[in-house]
Amino acid sequence: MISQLTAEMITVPAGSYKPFLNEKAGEKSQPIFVRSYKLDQYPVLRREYTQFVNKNPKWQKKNVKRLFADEGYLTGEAVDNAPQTSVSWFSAKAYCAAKGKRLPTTQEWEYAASFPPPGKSKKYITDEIMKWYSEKKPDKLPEVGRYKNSLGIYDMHGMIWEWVYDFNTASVTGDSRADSDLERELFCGAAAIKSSDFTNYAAYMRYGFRSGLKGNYTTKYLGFRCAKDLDN
Amino acid sequence: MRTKNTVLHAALFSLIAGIAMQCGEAPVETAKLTYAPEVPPVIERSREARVIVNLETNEQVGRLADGVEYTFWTFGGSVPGPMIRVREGDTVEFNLSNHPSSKMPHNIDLHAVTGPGGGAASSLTVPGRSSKFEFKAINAGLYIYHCATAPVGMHIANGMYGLIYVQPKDELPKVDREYYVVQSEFYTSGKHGKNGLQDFDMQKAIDEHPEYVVFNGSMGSLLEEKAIKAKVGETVRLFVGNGGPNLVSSFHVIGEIFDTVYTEGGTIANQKNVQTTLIPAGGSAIVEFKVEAPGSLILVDHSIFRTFNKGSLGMLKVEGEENKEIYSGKIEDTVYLPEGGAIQKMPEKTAKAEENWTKEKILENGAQVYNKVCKACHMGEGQGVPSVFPPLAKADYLNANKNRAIEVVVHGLQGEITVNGTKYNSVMPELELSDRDVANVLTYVYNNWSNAGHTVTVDEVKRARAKK
Repeated sequence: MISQLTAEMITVPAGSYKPFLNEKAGEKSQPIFVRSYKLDQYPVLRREYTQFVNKNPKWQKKNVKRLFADEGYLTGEAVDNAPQTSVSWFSAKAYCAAKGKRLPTTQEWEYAASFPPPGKSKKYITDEIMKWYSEKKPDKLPEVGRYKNSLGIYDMHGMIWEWVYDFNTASVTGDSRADSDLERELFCGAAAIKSSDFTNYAAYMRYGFRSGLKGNYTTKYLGFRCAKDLDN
Repeated sequence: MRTKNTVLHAALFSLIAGIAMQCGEAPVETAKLTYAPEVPPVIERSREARVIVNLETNEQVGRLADGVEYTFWTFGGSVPGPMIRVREGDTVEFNLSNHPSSKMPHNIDLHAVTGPGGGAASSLTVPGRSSKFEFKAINAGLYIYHCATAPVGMHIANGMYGLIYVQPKDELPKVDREYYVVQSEFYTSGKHGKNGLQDFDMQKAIDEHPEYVVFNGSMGSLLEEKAIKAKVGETVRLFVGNGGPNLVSSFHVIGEIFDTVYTEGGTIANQKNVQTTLIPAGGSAIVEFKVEAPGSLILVDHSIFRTFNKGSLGMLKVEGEENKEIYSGKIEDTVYLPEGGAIQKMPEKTAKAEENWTKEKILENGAQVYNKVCKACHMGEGQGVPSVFPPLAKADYLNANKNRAIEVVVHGLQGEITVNGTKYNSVMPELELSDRDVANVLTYVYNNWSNAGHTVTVDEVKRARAKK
């Protein structure tokens, strides 16, 4: 499968999508405009990340500061062409910077991920994700290249979660929740008030997952890919 | 005067010392959590304490029914999650850990908590992390806890709920047995009984059409050797929760009357002599009853199709001496003929007997009889209900002996039998069917569901009937 993949970035055309969360409860969400940008064709691979770490010793498991990555950093087993998971936001950001890239924003990521595979409807995306939730957890993460959307981007669904640059903008962690009630409404039935699509369970999950994170957290099913502005 | 003053001082001193003791040194203990149907022991202390609760969330594949698996999201690796018992006024330190292998973030909303999200706001935990929060158990009662991470419905539908009992300062009266039972439903993509690992079906959940309604997380979890037990004369208290996510339970125990019900899990015994008590989704009830006679009492959701077609069936086995004054057992078994015996030999039946019964017709009529009489217990595909009603499909007991099978239909059957390796101990009633109907339905059963293919004749039925 990997032979079909090139290490290139895909240009995501400018466009708009309907965000999952509304600005205000009860109001119809306005489409969000996303500028054209480039996104990695597949998540950063274990093999690629290992090269990065070899060149940048401060991101090796034994050297990394706890402030920047917790105890779970770079643990777990996977094949070489599996996505690199168990990375922190700081380490993912550093990787992208070393390649002259950056992490995608939530809006950029959600927009690119909203394209279904060729000839499929958006419901297919939800089904794909629900299938991932239900299936047995693999002992080792498999190779990338299982799911391709109509932009030609692989594995945005059905394999791992991915870091985004502004993961904590819908934060529900204890520290930042008091000054905004957006987060609180992600709990329980209240989540439905602001959601633009009551049946989009998969999107609930992504927002829920992101809001539980801090920059130094690492988890077994959380990886990343990089983005870049257009050249001009 | 002087003496009096000293006494007063002494009294005052000991009072202050007493207050200091009360305030200063709340004992610290770790809560003993129990898995259903066990209930944590009664808390005997009369002081408030600091209680540490450690609970882990994880996601794992488990058994929902025989041959049916499901990816459960759990507290403590089980559905329902472990039962927690604290005492009114205790300060609870709650440590929620999410196993590193989890795909999902989880949190906990304890309905016993007074505060935003019932703890959910402070306990959102991604895989491989732990969260700590504290609350004071100011309201006594029996409360549901559940995961409240978006989308809450899916976390609950996948198994994330349990009970926390805040024992009142004046604990309920002592009983002989306490048990922990939680009802909930599952929305699988495959129909009820479809084998293999089943996915969660979102549309069925939204439509509130579950394929399974169960006690304690799976079909048969309270049946036969897993049944809860008591002895004649004992008083039983059931802590019953309803995890939902959607259905309200009409909780009933066949063969018992609840002497006392603490409706909705409150702390006042507000009702006596209750047959069926409603338990809301995300709610609970405490019921108590003295068991008077030996035998099996059956726990059901009296929304009865859930029980016989979807699995909400449990068993309380009562052992001990019969008490004929309370329940006599069957004293007489006589034929009931409302319009006199002769009516049964109506010409219509004779006419039927004279028909030319081709195999095709036999099977057609047999199917009708089966659907009318047998299907309610043995189910549409002869699969039966595990541990309650034996299967007819590919059934060794059925295929081994044709004449025995005929006798069972015409005379009924009571007592323990083993079918395909599973023990059954219930009653098959004597059925009021004509010889022709018996012959047809048995032929139908033998010629379906990979059975032996026998034909049963009217003469064979007559001979079996004569045997008693």
